Amino acid sequence: MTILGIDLGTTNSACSVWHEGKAVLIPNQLNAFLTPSVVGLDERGEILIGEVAKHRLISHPGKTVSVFKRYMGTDFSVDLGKRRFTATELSALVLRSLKEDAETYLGEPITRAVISVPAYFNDAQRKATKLAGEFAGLNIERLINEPTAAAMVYGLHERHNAGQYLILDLGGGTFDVSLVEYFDSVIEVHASSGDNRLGGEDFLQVLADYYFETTGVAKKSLSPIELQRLYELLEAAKCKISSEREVVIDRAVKAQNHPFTITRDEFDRIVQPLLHRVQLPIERTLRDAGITPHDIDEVVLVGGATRMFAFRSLITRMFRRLPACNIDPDLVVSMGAGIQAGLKEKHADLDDVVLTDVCPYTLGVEILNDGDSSGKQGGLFLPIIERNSVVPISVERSLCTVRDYQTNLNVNVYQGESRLVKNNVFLGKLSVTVPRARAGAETIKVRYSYDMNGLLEVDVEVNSTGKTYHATIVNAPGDLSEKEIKKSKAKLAQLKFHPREQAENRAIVARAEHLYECALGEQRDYVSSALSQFERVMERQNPLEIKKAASQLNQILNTLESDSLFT
Amino acid sequence: MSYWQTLGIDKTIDLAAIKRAYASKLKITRPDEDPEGFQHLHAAYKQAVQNAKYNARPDQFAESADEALSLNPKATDDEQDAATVLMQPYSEVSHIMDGLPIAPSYHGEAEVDAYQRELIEIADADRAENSIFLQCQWLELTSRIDEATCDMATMNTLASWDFLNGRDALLDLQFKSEISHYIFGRIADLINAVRPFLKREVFDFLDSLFLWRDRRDLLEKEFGHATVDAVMLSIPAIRKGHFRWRYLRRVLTTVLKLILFGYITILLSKNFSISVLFSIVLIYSIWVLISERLRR
Repeated sequence: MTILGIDLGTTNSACSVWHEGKAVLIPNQLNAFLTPSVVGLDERGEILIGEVAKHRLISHPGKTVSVFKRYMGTDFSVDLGKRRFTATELSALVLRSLKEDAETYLGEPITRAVISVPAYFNDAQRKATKLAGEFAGLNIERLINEPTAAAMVYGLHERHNAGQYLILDLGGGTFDVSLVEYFDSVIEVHASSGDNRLGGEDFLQVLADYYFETTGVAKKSLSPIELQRLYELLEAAKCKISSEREVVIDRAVKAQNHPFTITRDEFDRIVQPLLHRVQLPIERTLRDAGITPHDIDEVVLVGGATRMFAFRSLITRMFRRLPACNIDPDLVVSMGAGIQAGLKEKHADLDDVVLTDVCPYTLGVEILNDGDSSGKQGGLFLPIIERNSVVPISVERSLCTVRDYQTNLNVNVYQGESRLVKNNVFLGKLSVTVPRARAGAETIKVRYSYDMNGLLEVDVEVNSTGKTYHATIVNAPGDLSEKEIKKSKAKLAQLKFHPREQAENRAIVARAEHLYECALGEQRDYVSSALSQFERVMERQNPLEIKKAASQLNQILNTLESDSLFT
Repeated sequence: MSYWQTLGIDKTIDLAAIKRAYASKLKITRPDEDPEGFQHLHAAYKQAVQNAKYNARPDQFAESADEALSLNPKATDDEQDAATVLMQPYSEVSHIMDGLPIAPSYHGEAEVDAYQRELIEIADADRAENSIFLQCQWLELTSRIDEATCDMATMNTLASWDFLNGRDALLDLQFKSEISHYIFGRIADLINAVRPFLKREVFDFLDSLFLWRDRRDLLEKEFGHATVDAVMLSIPAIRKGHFRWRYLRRVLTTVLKLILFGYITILLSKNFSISVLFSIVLIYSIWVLISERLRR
C-alpha cells in the first residue's frame, strides 16, 4: 500500500509518493503540482478547494478562507456559509482533496500518509495536524519536520557531498532553521530553531501597512472585494520588487488618488524588523550546535518566500556566500515527505538511509517559585527535555510535594526557553492524587517521552502508592474531546464536494469571473460575453464541445492576462 | 560498556572513522525501531566526537591562531576557485538534478539572470572587498568602541553606542561575533578597573544586538567565568514594583490598625457592656477580611 507524502502549507500544499527510486510529485485535477491551501463554498453549498477557491477569494471573500494554517492548534474558527469551521477542519478538507488527487493519479485507495509540519510547531499544532489527517480519512504514519524533509531531498540527490548544511525554510507563515549533517547515507539534524509567526504573509502585511500609510487610504473604508483585490496586487508587487528596482500600483481601489510607488530600497527598509527576526533563530542554531559560519558547507533555501531579494541578500551577507536553491523551493518539502513515506514503506532502495532529528524546543514542568512572594512572577520552569536533544527521547525527573498534607499535585506541562512558565507555551496539565503527608515526603516520577513525530507523552508515577497516570493531558488549547471529534467527522462527511470531472471547467469559470472583477469597461464586457457563451456550451453537456470551448476560453483569458491587466 | 565498545571501534581521534562506525551501527539501531538502543548509541557517538575534538585541539589551535590574524583567512587560496564557481553557479549540479523540478523564478529568464547576477555581485563584493571593506569597518568600529568605553560616564550613555545601529558589516556573522567579543572585553576591562556599574539600558541595547545573555557560555569560553560574572553582576537590578508595593502595604495595614484601636477606645469610654463585645467581634472580622485581602 502506497503511503502519501504531504506538504500541508500555509499558502500552497503539494503531495508526492516514493516510486521507482525517487520521490514523484502528484499533479492535481488541474495538472499542477501546487494546490493553493484555500477552501471555499459555492452557490450550491458545495466545497471548493485549491485554484478555483483562490480565484474566488476576490469575487466571494465571505465564502472563501485562506491562510488558516496559522490557526492550527487554537480555538479559532471561521464561518463559511451556514457552518463554522476550525483550522483543523479546513486543513482536513485540503488533505482530502490531495488524497483524492493521489487516488486518481495512482489508481488505488490511499489510507496512509506522512505530513510535514514546521519544525517549530508546538505539541498542540502537531496534534491538530494529525487530527486533520484523521478527519480526511488518512492514517498519519509520521509527522516530519519541514526543513528535515527538505534536507532529505538535498541529501539523497547530492549523496556524494558529505558535509554540514544549514537549511533555511521561510514559508508563507513560518520560519525554520535546521543544521543538518550528511555522511554515509545518514542524515542527522544537529539543531533546529525557528519562528512560528514569521513568513511571506508578514512581509505582505508590512507592505500593505505601508500602502495604507502613504496613500492615505483607510483600510476600514474598503469593501471586502476591494481589499482582496488590493492584497492581490500588493502580493504581485512584493514578488516583482525582487527583480525590479521599482513597482507602481495605479489606482488599485477607488479611494486611492495617486499612483503608489515602492522602490527596492524602501521595501528593504520597511521589512527591516522582519529581517531582524530572521537573524535570531539562525544565530541561535549556530550557537546551539557550537559552530561558526565557516564550518557550514552550504546554506540551502526552502520555501517560496526565500525568493525575496531582501531575504536572499541578507543571507548572502550573513554567510559571505551565495545560498543554494537548486530544487524548486515550493516543492522540495513535499518531495521530502514522499521520501519519508518511502522510508516508512521500507523500500529496498532506501534501505541504508537513516534519518535522525531533534526536538527544537525545551519541554518542562512548572515548579514552585520560592522567591516570588508577590505572585507576579508565577511558577518557575524546570526543563525535562532540553532543546536539540536527539529524538526519540525519554527523560524522567522526580518532583515532591511542597505543602503539608496536600493530597493533589498538578503537573503543568510547558514548552519554551524562559525561566518563568508564564513566558512559555502551556501544553496541558495532569492532576495526580498523593497520600496526605508532610511537605516533601511524597515524591512523584514524571517521565516525558518525545517521539519521532514530535508528539509528547507524559507519564507520572506516585512513588508511595505506585499508581501511574498516562498522557491524559487535558485543557490544552484547541483540544477536542472524543465526542467533539466524532461531531467534526460527521460534519465533514456531510459536505458535498464538486464532481471531479468538472473541476477543470469550474476552474476556468472561476478564473474568468476573477478576471471580470479586475477588468474595466470594454474588457469587462468581453470577458462577460465569452463566459456566458462558455456556460451555454456547458449546459449542452457535450464533452467534446465543452473541451473545445474550454480551450478557446482559456486562450482568451491568457491573452487578456498577458495584456498586463494585472499590474 | 565504554562508548568505544558501543561504537565497535578502538579508541581513536579520527573523526571520519568515528562517523563511519556510527553510521554502520545506526543502520541496525534505527531510531524508530530501537529508541533506547539508539539513544545509547547516539550518546556514545557524541562522546567519541567530543573526545576526538578535544584531543585534536593542539594542532587546530595553532591554525585558528593564524586565522585570527586575518579576518578572511581562506580568502587568498580559495578566492580564485570560489570566484569561478560563483560565475557558473548551478551548471555543475544541474545534471545531478535530472528529473527534479529546477527552481523557477517569478518572471522570465532575463529577469532571473538579472536577479541572480545582483546576488552574485553582493557575494563577490563581500568576498573580494572583504579584506578591505571589513577591515576598514573593523578599524572604524573598534576606534569608536574605544571612544565609547573611555570612561564610565560615556559607556553608560546610550547615545554613545548609536553608531552600532544599521551597520551592514554587522550582518556578517563572523565579523559580528568578533565585534561582540571586542566590546565585551572593553567593558569587562573598564568594570574591573573602575567602580563596577553598567547601566541596564546600555546592556539591554547591546544584548539585543549581540545576544550576550543568551550566549553566556560563548563569552565564558572567551573571557572566563569570573569576568563574565563581574560584568553581569555590575548591572543594577531593576527596582521592581512589588518592593514598593510591599512597603506601601505595611504602612496601610498599620494605619488601619491605628484607626481600629481608636474606634475601640472611643466605644470603651462611652458604654462598657455589650458594645465592647460587639465591636471586638466586628473588628476581628474586619481584620481577618483585610489581612486575607492583602495577603493575596
